[in-house]
Amino acid sequence: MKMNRNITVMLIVFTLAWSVNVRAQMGSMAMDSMHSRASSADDRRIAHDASSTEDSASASHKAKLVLAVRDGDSTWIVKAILTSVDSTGREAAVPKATLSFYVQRLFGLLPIGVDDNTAATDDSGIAELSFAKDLPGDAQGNVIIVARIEDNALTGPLVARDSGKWGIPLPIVADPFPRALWEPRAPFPLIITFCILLGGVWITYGFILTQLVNIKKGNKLNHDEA
Amino acid sequence: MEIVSVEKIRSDLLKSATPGNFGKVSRYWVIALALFMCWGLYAYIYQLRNGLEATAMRNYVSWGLYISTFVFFIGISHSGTLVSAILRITNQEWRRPITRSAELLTAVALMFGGIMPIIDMGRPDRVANMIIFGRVQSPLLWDIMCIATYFTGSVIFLYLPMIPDIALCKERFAKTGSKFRLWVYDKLSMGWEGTPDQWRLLERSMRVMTVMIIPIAVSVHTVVSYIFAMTLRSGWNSTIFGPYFVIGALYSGSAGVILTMAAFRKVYHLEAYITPRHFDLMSKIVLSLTMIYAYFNLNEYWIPAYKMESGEGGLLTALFTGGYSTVFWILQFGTVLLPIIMLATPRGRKPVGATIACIIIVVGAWVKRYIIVVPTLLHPFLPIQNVPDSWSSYFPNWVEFSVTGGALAGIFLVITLFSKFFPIASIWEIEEGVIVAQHALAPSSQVGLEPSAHIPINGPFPGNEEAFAK
Repeated sequence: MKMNRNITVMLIVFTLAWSVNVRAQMGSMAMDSMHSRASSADDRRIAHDASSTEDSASASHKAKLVLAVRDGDSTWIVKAILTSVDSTGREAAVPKATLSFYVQRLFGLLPIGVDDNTAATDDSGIAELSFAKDLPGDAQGNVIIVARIEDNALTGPLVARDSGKWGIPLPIVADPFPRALWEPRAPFPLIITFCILLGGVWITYGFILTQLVNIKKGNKLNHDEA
Repeated sequence: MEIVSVEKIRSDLLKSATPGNFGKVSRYWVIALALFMCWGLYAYIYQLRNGLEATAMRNYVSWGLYISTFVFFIGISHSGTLVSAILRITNQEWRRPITRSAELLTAVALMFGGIMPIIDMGRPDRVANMIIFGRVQSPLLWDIMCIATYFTGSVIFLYLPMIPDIALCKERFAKTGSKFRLWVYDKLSMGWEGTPDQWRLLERSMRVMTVMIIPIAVSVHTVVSYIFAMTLRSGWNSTIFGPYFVIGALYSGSAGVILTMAAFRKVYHLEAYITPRHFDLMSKIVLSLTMIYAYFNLNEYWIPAYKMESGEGGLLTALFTGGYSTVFWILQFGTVLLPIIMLATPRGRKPVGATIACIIIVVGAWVKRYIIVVPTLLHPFLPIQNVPDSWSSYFPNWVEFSVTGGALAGIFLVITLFSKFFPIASIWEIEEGVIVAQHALAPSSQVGLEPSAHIPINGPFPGNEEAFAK
C-alpha cells in the first residue's frame, strides 16, 4: 500500500518535472521561432543570434561582420567592417568582399541604397552605403538594417543586422480596416438604417399579431360572460 | 341599380369553396398541374444531382431563366399592393370583388418567386450562408430580408380580410365539411363572431397593414433592381432602375390581376360581381401604367443609345440590330405599344379585349426580364475569349424550362386549391359595398344605416333586413 503511494508520488513528481521541462523547451522554441520569422529563409540559420556583429566559423577561419550607422546629412550611411580571425586569434581585414544591404520588412528584406544595394569592402575591410532617411520604421522609427555576404571563399555566407531609429515613426493604426461599404464590417449608419427599417416593419407585424390574439381573446371573453 | 340579397351573395361566392364541389374539369386541371409540378421537381432533382452543368448556364450567363422568372414573379406580386392596398386607401368602392384575388396572386407569386434564386444557386444548402455570413452592405442580403418581410406582410394582408369569411365557411360547412377542412376553418377564423370589438380590432389591423404594405412592396422591387444596378455592367448601370422596376412590376402585376379576374369570372360564373365595369376601370389603370412604363423604357434605352459608350454600345447594338433585335422590337411594339392602342379603345377594355391585352403584357413582361438579364451577361466589359463556344451564348435547356414550368404550375395549383377552400372574393366586403351603395341611394335617416356598418357573419345587419331582401 505504502509502496503504491510512493510510486504514485514519484509519478506525479516526474510528470510535473517533465511538463516544466517541456514548457521551458517550448518557450525556447517559440523565442527561436519569433526570431526566425523576422528573417528570410536564407539567413534563418543564424538569425537567432541577432546583433550588430555576426561571426562565421569555418575550419580555419572565423569571420566577423560589424555594422555601424552614422548620419550623412541627407542620408544615413551604414558602415560594415568585415574581419577574419585565424586559428591563432589574429584578426585581419577582409578586402574585396561584396556585401548586400537591406532593411527588414514584414515579409522579407527590402534592398536599400541610392542606386545599388551592394558595396565592396576596401583594403581595411570596410564597406559603406548610403540609404534614404525616409524609410518607414516602427512606432518609434526603429528599422533593422541587414548586411549580407552571399558567398565568399574566406568568410562563407554571413549576415549581420543592427537596429536603430533611422526610419520615420509609423504609428500603429488601431483599426486598419475601418467600417466601410467595401470592408468586411458595414458602416454603423447603414446598420442602424437597416435595423430601423426592418425592425419597424416587424414590430408592426408583431402589433398585428397582438390584434389577432385580442380578436381570439374577445371571443373567449364573450363566451365566458355568456 | 340591382341590389342582391345577402343570402345570394353568400351562396354565389361560397359555391366554389363548397365541399364536394370538385367537378371533373377541376379534377383534371389539378392533376395536370400536379404532374407539371412533379416534372419540374424531377428536373430540379436532376439539376441537384448533376450540378448547374445540367442547365444551359455557364460562367458568363449565371443568371438565366431562373433569375428572369424571379424578377417576373416578384413583379406580378405587386398586384396585391396596387389593386388592394392603393384602392383601399383611396376608398374605391369597385375594388371589393377583386381585392382577394389580387392579394392571393401577390402571396403565391412571392412564394414561388422567392425560391427561384435558391434554385439558381445550385447548392440550396448555401442559402444559409447568406444569413450566417451575410454582409449588411450587400444588396443580396437586402433582397432576402425584403422578400421575406414582403411575403410575411402579404400573407397577413391576405389573411386579415379573410377572417370573417372563414368564420362564415366554418358556420356554413359545419355539416358538410370534412374534419380537416373544419379544423382549418376553426383555427384560421380566430373565434370570429363579428362582435363590435372584433370588427374594431380587425379594421385597425387592416388599416395599419394597408398603409404598411405599399412602401414594403415598393422597397422590394427597388431592392431587386439594386441587385442589377449596383453591379457595374452594361445595361444595368442605371440610376432609374429602381423606379423602372417598380413601374414594370405594377404594369405586369395589374395585368396579372385582370387575368385572374377573367379566370375566376369565367370558371366560377361571377359575372354579377366582376362586371365589365371592373375590367374597364382596371384596364384604365393598366393603360396608365403601360404608358408610364413606355416612358421609362424610352429613357432606359434612348439616353445610353445617344451616347453609345463602348461598353453600352455593344449591348445596345445587339439589342437594336443584333441577335436580340427581333425579340427586342417585338417587345417594344408588340407588348408595350400594342396594349396601349388596344386598351385606349372602349372595346379593348371589355373583358375579352382586356384579357387579350393583358396576356400580351404578362408574356411580354416575362420575356422583357429575360432581355434585361441575359444580353447584359453576354456583354461583359472584358471580351469573352478562349472559352468554349457554348459559353458565349445562352438559351435555356429542358431542365430550366421544366423547373420554371413547374413553378408556374405551382402558382396555378395553389390558387386553384385556395379557391376550393376559401371564397375567392371577399364576401363581407361585397356585402358592405352593397350597404354603402344602398346608403348612397337612400339617405341614412330612412334606412337607419351607418356607412361603415358591418354585417355580422350570421345574417344581415340588424334592422336592415328589408333593404337587402330582394
